[in-house]
Amino acid sequence: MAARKDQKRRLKIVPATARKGDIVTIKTLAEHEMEPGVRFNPESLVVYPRFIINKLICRYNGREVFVADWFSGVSANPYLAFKLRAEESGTVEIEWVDDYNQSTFARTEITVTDDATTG
Amino acid sequence: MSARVLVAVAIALLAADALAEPARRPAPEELLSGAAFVRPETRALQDDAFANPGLIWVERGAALWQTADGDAGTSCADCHGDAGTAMKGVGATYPKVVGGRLLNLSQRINQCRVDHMGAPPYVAAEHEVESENLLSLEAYVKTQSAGMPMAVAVDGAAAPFFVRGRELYFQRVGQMDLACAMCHDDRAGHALRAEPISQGHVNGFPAYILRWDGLASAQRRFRFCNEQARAEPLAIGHDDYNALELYVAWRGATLPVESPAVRR
Repeated sequence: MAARKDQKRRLKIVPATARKGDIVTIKTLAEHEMEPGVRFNPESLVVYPRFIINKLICRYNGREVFVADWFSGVSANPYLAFKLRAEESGTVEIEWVDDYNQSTFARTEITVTDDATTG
Repeated sequence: MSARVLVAVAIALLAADALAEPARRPAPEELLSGAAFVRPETRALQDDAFANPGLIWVERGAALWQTADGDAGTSCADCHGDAGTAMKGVGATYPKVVGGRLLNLSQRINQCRVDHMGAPPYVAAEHEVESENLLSLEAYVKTQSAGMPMAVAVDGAAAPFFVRGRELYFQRVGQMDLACAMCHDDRAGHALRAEPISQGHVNGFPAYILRWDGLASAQRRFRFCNEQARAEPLAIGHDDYNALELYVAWRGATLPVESPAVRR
């Protein structure tokens, strides 16, 4: 596992261009060890403290549209995908919050074409 | 002729004979990649160009490829150029004999670092089983050959290593008294407790191993197999593991490179 500052965050909208009202898929992947807090070192018997991403927030042009609370037991390098209705062009932002309230972000653009203009 | 010469001749004859009669291996149409033995969900994860977690390492390897390091102040890209061109097909030919030694891909990368970049070889840090940087570069190089058939050379200089690898493949080891062949040749497709037994190919390695939450080399997987058979595992990069990897790669020749695969 890489040092925390080097950990990758991936975000993709499928498809990145949609018509107004279309359902698009937001795919997210975070590199994280997701230490559940129940394992211990067999030699020293010291328990590895829990260290997970406990919240994922999605903002669409600044408005919160999706929140997921995660608990211990979510796998390492968690992948999450969900659907979103395309309303307007703009930015989709994902925020991952860990147990120390440290946030990491990924942002990407979505282009929404108006139904009327595309016929 | 002295006894020593006789012995040498006998060994040479045996080796030549051994090479002339390749061990049984699955016929090309019966070859099944490890992907055929995992659950559909795991396979879907591997095939998804976004969700495959092994791509995190590939992404990091791509960055390392461009990063200057060592006394020479050069990066991989300074000499080799674009990996997509320069490294296409390379990963499918390892392990390979370089300067009289059989090297696997990661050892070759380290050799290049030392010889041409004046940089220290990547070694595993205290908290790592294997060097994450080395794994990343290895995965990045190997994925340039994705879809190309595995094609290692087992003749010429590689012949003695191949013979050694085959010997190891059929040698029974550990408290369980198991040889690789007993599971991966004779019982592939059957269950070992709750797990299906694969044919034991290395075309998907370095692979993302779900039970380890990370990328792992074929030789780390060999170690795990040895541990399961209650045999003393060798060090990653050991000459015998290289020879075994060569044999196994030959055994799965023509299978497409899948790295980074996703495996249980």
